[in-house]
Amino acid sequence: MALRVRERTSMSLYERSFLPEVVRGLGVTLRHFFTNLIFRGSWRYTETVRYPFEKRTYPERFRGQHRLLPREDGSPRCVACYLCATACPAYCIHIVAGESPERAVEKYPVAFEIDLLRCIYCGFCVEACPEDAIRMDTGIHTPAFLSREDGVVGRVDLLSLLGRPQTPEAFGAQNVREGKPRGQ
Amino acid sequence: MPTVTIDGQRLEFAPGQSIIEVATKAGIEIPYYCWHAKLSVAANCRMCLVEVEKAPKLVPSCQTPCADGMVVRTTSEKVKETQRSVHEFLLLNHPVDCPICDQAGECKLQNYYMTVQLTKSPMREPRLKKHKREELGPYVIYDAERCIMCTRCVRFMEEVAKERQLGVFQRGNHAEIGTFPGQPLDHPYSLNVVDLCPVGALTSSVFRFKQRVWYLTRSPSICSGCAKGCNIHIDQRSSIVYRLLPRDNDAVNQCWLCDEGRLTYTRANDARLTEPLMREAEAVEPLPVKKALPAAAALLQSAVQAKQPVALALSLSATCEEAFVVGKLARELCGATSVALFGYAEGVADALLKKADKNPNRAGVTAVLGGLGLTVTELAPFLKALNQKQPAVALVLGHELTESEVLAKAMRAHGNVLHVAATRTALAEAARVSFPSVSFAEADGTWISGDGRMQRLMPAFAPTSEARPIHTWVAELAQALGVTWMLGTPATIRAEMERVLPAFAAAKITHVAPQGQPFTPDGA
Ligand code: SF4
Ligand code: FES
Repeated sequence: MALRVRERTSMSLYERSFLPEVVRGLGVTLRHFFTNLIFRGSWRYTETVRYPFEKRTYPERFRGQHRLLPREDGSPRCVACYLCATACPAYCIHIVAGESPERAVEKYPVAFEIDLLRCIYCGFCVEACPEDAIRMDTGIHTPAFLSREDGVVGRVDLLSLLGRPQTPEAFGAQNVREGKPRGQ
Repeated sequence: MPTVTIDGQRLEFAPGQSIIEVATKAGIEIPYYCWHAKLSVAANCRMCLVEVEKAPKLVPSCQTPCADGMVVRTTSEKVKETQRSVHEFLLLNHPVDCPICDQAGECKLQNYYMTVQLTKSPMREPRLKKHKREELGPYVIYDAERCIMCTRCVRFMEEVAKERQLGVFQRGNHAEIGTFPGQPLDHPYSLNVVDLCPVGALTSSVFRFKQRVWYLTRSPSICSGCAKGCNIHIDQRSSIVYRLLPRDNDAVNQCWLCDEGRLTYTRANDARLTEPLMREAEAVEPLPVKKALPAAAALLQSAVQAKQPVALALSLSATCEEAFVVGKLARELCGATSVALFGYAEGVADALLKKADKNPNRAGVTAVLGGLGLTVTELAPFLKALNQKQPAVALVLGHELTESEVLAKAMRAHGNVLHVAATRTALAEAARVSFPSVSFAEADGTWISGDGRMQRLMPAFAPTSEARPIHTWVAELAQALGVTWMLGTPATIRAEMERVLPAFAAAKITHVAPQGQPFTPDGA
């Protein structure tokens, strides 16, 4: 591919004053203001959410924070096959496999850590898992962390998270306007 | 020479060669499981069936010798259909537990499934349940469900290890590999069956679950376990060595490796010395190189300037290049006439590979030091001298010896001993200053085996810590004493060696093939 080099020219006085752009931007805001004032209820009406009093409901397949699924006895379903760690484009999954003492499951994760600060929430790990042991259905945003270490979530924490309850049929904007976050 | 036509290619063959041998050599791939170049032919997997003109049925190419004028087709529809069906059969009762199988990633079943089968399993019945995770011996674990009964492992024990520790039990679907009552699979070469097993039925309890194989980076090297100098592959990830595998070399180890040698992989990982240490009275403190080097050099310099004797001891695991620079230091700066050599104690030899001498480079170190006009001695005179405080300063280069306690005690009592080692042993604590050196996995240089074969050690990865080869530390010390040798890399050392030592002039390092070459101490 040929490389196109674009010269960076200095800004003119008109541009440097920024005033015309500020006015233009305000113009857009005002246009929406009056449209919403006049055309309430019509298709021109721009829907907004009064965050943080109201929260938009996420779609069914929103990829929130990961969780590990337990078996019936509470141990992780994960067999430490490393497929998620292999699929992960951000290299944020760290697994240490071990030989499990029980005869039924040979291999289990001695350590399973996800570095949420590195994670890009692509969901490849969920796709890769042959055991349905990892899901991103908690609906939880990445929390804010005070230190880098806090961003690394371990096996126990991942196991303790729950998935979102069964999604009701009706979802979307109408649900939001009633002020009821979906599924609660 | 008689010829055979395989897939339209006319190929010459020696009488007795099988179709698969001739085809593989010519780069024509025929899938196979049970055939192995170094084992007898069993022809029980039926994966290698090919079409031979005028033959009524498909023939197993591993068992069928070539005949003059034979016309073989390996890619016809009939062959492909057969391969697909054979593979379906092999996978009939397979548990497909690849996620927890160590072989995944280097499994023939996986590879051939992708290349020849790619169909759903026709099995509608419940799959046969068999033993899983059965410990056959100290190092080998068997999973009967994954086994395809190729009997490679059984044939290895019978034909190469020459001890029938494995056998086939039961019949048909229920057939299993097993050991005999009261006789576990404890042969000193037992881990070879893990390599031989084309599927994940036999796994090594040492490597088990440590890593997935697709993460490992492989590089060629030489085993440090004994004087045989077996060719190996180092499998490492992030500078941690996870396993050693045999590398084919018909002149040395063919394609085998003893269990003892395989377990030496820990030498590259365990208790590594990562930074210089300095001992003041009883306290051993880590020290940056910037401080440790002048401290050590000052010690050495005071002795050299006062024309006091300096004694040296060198490990038999050092490379020829390291030995050369150490010899140079001994002769040119320390005025020493002899160097003491130490190493691991004598072990037991066997008929297959193992040598009694457990040191990988005795021949090389002696040849180099001898070539430099130094006499080599045992450790005893060195110890005696240390105990009598004869040398003002002593250097102990390397840590590879069995009885390190005696040496450590003498070093501690003497007080002015400099030490270079890859591992933090009692020696490192006993020395005045210790410098970290590289393990066999990071070393670059040559070793000469007990059979007189010069082989190249290639670094699998760069040292991650302050570790540097012995020759670098020695050259740095010489530099601090005001002598610049310009011997920074093994290549420059080799150039100098070839100039000084006639034996090495005949064996240029650039020519040391991956498979090694014969070496004679007199350069003939
Ligand atoms: S254990 Fe492996 S090598 Fe032995 S018969 Fe089964 S598949 Fe073949
Ligand atoms: S390789 Fe020929 S039958 Fe197995």
